[in-house]
Amino acid sequence: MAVVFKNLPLPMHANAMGAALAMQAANRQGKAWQMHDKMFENREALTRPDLERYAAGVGLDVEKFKADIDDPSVKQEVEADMKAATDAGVRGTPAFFVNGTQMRGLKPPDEFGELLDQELAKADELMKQGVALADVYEKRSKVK
Amino acid sequence: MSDKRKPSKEPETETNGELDEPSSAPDGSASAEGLDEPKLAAEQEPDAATDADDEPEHDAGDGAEPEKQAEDADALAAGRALGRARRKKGKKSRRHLSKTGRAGALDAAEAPPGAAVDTTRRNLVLALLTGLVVGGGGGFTAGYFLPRWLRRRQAQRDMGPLPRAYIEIAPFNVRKGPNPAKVTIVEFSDFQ
Repeated sequence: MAVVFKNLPLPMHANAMGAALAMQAANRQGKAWQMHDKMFENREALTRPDLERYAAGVGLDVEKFKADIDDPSVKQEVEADMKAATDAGVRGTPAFFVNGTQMRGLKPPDEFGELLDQELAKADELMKQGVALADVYEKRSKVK
Repeated sequence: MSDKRKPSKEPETETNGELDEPSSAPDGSASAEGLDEPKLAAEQEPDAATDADDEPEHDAGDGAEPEKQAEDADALAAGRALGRARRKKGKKSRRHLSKTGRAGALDAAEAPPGAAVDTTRRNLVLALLTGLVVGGGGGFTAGYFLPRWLRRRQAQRDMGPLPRAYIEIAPFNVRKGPNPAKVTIVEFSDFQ
């Protein structure tokens, strides 16, 4: 099982875009999840100086981090995620898709686990039918 | 028919007959007065009988004081008319009161002092009670039915098929876990 993070900074959250850029900038140094956790721990303090301090805290090259945050291509990555969300009909955060099936709102772990089990069983079924593991996600997600 | 009319004329004849006696006096004038009086009485009698329609026999029987009788009958009739008028007025005002319940229906002369203040207070209390009943009813309806409707709507939404979408995973997307994987969770999130 894998988890893929996509940025959806909401316009009503003033520092959300800066945090999304920081996430992608940290990813360029291979420390995105460390930065992710640090930012979630400090959700009320996400200004630019705060982000640079967190970057230093998780061991990032701060100068490179600053340059990447201001890199237009990093912003394009964030904007591509935002478009994917719009195309999928996502209007709020957090939103989860399990092999293409959307979970509505925050669900209790049991309910989440139930859906994971169902998808795991269907993936096994597909693989028994000869579908390659690399194609399972796309195959399951495109089922209507 | 002719038999019925005859007895009604008879008293007149009798009365005339009784009063005819003075006419036999040597003085012709007396007889003339005697003749005039019964005529006058006879003229007045039917009027009195008509006015006092409840007691025709008594009036007809009192031939001795016709003027007094006429006066009494007039007074009686006037009194009855007044009584009827008062009863009508009383009914009207009572009906009006029962329909509207307003103090304005009370005659100012009949209303006791301070009645207007009492009625205004009563109207205020009535308006207050009406407002409470209407507001309470509306509040209860909203408080009782609205949450049920919202819950039902939410349940219908939850019961429906889950939306599905293919979300392309880009090379720059942050990922944790094997690649490829049997199950891939895509999370959209911001940090605030």
